[in-house]
Amino acid sequence: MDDETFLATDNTCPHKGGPLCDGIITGRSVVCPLHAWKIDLDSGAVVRPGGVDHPGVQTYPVRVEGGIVKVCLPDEPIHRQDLEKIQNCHIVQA
Amino acid sequence: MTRLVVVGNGMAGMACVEQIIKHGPKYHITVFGDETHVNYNRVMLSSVLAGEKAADDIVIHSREWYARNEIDLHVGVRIVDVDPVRKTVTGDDGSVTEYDKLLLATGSSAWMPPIAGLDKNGVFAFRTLDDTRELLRRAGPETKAVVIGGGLLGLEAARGLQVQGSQVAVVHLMATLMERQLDAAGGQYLVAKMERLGIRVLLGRSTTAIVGRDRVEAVEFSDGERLEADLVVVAAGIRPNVELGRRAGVEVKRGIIVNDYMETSSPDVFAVGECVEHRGVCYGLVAPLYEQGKVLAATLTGHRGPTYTGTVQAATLKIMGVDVFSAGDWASAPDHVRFEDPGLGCYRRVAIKDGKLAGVILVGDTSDSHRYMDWLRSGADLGAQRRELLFPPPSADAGLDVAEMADSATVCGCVGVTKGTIIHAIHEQGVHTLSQLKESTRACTGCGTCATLCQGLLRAVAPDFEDEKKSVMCGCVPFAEDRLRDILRSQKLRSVQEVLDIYGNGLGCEVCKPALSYMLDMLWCGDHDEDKSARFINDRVHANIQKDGTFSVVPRIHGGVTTPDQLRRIADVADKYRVPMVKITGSQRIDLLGIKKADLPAVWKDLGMPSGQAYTKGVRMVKTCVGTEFCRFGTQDSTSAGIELERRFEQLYTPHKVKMATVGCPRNCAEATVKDIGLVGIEGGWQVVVGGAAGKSVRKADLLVTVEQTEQALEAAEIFFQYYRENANYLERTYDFVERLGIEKVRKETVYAAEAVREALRDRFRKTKARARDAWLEGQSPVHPTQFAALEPMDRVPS
Repeated sequence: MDDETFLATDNTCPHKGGPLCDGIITGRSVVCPLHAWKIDLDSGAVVRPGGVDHPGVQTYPVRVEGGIVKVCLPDEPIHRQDLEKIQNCHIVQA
Repeated sequence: MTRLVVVGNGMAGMACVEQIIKHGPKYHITVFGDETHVNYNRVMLSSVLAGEKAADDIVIHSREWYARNEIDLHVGVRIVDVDPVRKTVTGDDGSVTEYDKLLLATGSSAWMPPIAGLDKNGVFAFRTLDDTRELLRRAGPETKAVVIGGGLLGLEAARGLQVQGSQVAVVHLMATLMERQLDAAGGQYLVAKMERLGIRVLLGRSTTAIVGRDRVEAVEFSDGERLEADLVVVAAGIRPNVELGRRAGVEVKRGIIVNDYMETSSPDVFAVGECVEHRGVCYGLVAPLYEQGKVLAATLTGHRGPTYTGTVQAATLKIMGVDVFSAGDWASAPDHVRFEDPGLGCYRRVAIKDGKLAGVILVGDTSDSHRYMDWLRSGADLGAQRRELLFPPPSADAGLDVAEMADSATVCGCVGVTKGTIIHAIHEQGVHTLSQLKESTRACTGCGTCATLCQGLLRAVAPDFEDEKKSVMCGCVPFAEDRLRDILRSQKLRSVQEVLDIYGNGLGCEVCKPALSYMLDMLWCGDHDEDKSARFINDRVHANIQKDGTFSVVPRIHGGVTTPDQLRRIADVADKYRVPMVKITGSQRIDLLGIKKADLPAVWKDLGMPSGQAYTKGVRMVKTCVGTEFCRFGTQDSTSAGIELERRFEQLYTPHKVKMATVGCPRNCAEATVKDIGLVGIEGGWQVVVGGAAGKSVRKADLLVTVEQTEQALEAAEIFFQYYRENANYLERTYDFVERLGIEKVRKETVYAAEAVREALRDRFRKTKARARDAWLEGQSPVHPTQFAALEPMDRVPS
């Protein structure tokens, strides 16, 4: 995002699994590089195409502390292959 | 013949003279002008100051026009006295000239407010071409400029100076900018736009003195505060030049008094333009003056009859990207509706009185201005349309609007083009698109606000009207692409974010960001502020993203000719990285598919070959057939030509991909006739063909030119290529581009253009090429630390 804001979601586009981190940011959404689906980064909802019946992508709360971006993962145990699906949009270190 | 002496060589006077001449040879005409130039468009001085136009572009009447019409022109001579009894005028050169009829078109002068120090070195008005030239000379990055006066002219001067690199502040007496045209809220929106451009605005400041030893050093206000300055422009208003009217003995108040026939109180003296006062109004805009001129011409040539009854005044701010329109009386009407969109920087106020439109203010989106003007002029009852006041629907019958306009009505106020002139161009010259209209009449080449009206006229009158697709890229930056190119070029913008901040919504999207990136790259020949995040993924990592998020890598194999060593390297890389598929492509090269993003830099290093750019809006490849080197039918060495062509064009970016081919004979084994640029060898030379395609669309290329030498063919390709880069819309393939313009026009503006034009195109091509580098070198020195970052699975995160 801009210099101040960090948002985190799953990397997988709900359409055909494209890598959202390789998309283009517009406003607070990202556009998937494969077929240009537009995902809202705050809610994870599919913004475009309209009328899509899909729960959207998982989002994760983000905190910035001491110059490090921290993503809050759910409490339940996570299997390794699920971990592979969860990524930050930006990785910043102090 | 009767002698007509015209004092003043400006727009109003000469427009009137033009009309007089149309009525036939009634007068021997002598013109005196105190400036040393021919008649030029003073309205466009703002564009000249802002670097959008050159002085030569704004000439209205050349010396040749005066000569052809047998007008006795005296430039640089100021008339200082009139003797109404002897009927003579005296110039400052001592000359005395007799007249039978006198036409005063002395215009107005900048009003100099009561400020001490106006005589210091560095203080200017902004009225003449000479003023403009002087300002251009002095305005640079080191200059601190202060403009006194925040009206139309002051703001345009400020913008021009700022584009030239100066730090600019506008000082305005009133609390609202452009307070004669805008209300407080509208003024605020305008201030925001000016500040976004980087111009400081100081409101409610009374300037008392300009201080400095003999050069300007600062400007002082009534509260004692000072502002540093080395250049001061005074744009605090204009006053009609009435002195000669007094000396001629005619009635003068603020201006020279004229009646509806443009007659003064003396039968032999007439007046037109800014020096005139009609029904209590002194006009400072072009459209009314042109109307006055027509009426006066009729009166003067024995056709006294038409009257001038005054004009509804409309003001437009001519700053690129800052749209402001104001007309009528919006202040005193008790009933009004308003609209604001701070996000888009738009403000509207529509004032109604007795059910009719009284006045309107538009800031930010002025596309409906002509609709409001129609309502103002016609006095239509809008009671039933209250809900549509803020957003007039496009006229269901656009033809009706324009049909109701008189032929003499001014359509383009900046250049002064009437409906009649446009109709004439349509009927006599077959004009049927907006671009053609611009070229033929120069309508719509000023502020551009009349575009909708011009289109409406074209649509209604031209039998083969073509609606040039407005090609506005997206809602983020609401300008047509060619206008945007002009803006970026003249305002010297170099980064995508800058463009979005100043002319767009600040955010951008996946459509305009890559397009703007290309535009900046092209305009500045690679010398711009690149922002990788504004690029599509393919251009971030220089490879083609596949459906599973892996990438395809196509190294450059010039002309489709390879070596065993290259093939071995490709094979080794395919083994080492366990590449899932090695494919031979239709472009005569090899594709390695299924490569992971993080492996890209290593793959490129191991290949040791430059990028084939198979993934981008750029030069793809040059296919070749064998040609004279081996083929028994070859007439030309197509292989060498193709390799040379690819070497010259590689690594360059374009509005859309460019595929090329060279063939040694018309058997066309490498399909050059369906390529963007093709070289077809023939006996004794080459045919250079352009605009072909064999993909989603199939189109046979057009013949651009036939040449004898290979070098000439390559040059022709360069010229066309650069022309395409500069004039096509983003994502427009050459086959659409050539189809849209027509090969005749393309030839005229490329290979058959004047040598200076061809050389300039080649020069910009070379400049761009000089900065071009193999994109894959970024593998060794990434632009951004995470440019090729793969998404690694994380270890379990500590709680």
